[in-house]
Amino acid sequence: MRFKLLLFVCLLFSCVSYSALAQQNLEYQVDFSVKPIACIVKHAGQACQMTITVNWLSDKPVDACLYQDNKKLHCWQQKQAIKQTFDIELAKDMLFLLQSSDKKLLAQQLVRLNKSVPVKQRRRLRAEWSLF
Amino acid sequence: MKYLLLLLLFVSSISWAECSVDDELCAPVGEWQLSVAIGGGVISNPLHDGKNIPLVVIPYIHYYGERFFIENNTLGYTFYENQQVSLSFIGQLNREKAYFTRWKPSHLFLPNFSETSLAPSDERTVTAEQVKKRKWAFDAGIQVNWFVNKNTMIEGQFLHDISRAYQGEHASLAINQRIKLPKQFANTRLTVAAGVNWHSKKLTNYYYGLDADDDIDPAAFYTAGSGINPFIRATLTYSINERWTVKLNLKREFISSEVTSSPLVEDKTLDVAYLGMVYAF
Repeated sequence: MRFKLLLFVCLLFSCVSYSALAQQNLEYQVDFSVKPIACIVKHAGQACQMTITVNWLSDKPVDACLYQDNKKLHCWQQKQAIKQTFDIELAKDMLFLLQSSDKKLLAQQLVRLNKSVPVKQRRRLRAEWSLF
Repeated sequence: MKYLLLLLLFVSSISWAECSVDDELCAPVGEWQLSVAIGGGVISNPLHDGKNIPLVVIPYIHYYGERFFIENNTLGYTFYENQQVSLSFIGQLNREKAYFTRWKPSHLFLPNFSETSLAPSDERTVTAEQVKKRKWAFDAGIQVNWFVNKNTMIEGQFLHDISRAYQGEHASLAINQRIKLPKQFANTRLTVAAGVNWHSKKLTNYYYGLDADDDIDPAAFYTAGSGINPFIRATLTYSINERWTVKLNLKREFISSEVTSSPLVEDKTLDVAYLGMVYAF
């Protein structure tokens, strides 16, 4: 399975619940969560394919769209509570944004791409941009 | 002097710090790092009638394996390393030939800036066009890095021409210091360096000496000796976000009198100035 080829392990931190309140002066509040909040690959440079569950709850019906960075994943019309899954791919840490129909940010959450094998670091041996 | 050495050893033994992620002085092992700078700048050409070398788009690549490394124009293999000292075999292209090269658009990334230049007025002056072709050289040798502390690195090199172009040596010794800035400049980094480049007689004489092979007036014949070029450099970097940074690079190198006395050479300094936006892939 491609999923297995790409991933060493994808841990689901489902026990951690994260919610973000509306960021701006909106007339309503939105509780928003994306689970899991991290995906783990074995080595740097590997992409992670995973299924996320998006939950949001508003105190009144809203039109809203979910974005993965700049990519629109889905839009809802006049919904107050949503629980929905999406198959996504992460090549880096990514922000998931919930925006209203007039592009106001309702809530956001970062999903991290972690490496299970920590990358060893070395001191660089030439001064930065010393090529001249 | 010995007290200074003892003090430096003491300081280095207590202040060395391990590499951390996000430290620009460190590199992740096994990962290629590619960035491209787009901006404007120039490398001055000290030769009579020499065209300055324009800098517009500069690719920068570095890779560090457990032992092997590449830093753009330098290949290296580290054969000894501890927390404070690193010893490496390195190889790199010698820069001197660049001043004898006419840079054209066909030279990747370096467009041909039109630049007015005065024809040599002194009878004793000679241009690169008039002399025998100088060859590119590839040098190899040993590099020593001493990490005095987290922000200070002393770097020494001794290199020999293995391409048998000039068949000589050159060496350098430099101290690189990262300057700690106030908290309000958290996204800004300043690194300064000072050092010396030593060029053997064979190197200076091959590139800047003049003799019968050069088909010029014998009055202009010149034999260069070994020389030392002191230099200073400053690099200022401002991080806009994870991928974009603004970079200012300034360098001045004071050319030794053994080279500036050559009829080929007009300037007493080599200057580099570059301001650009850097995108890290």
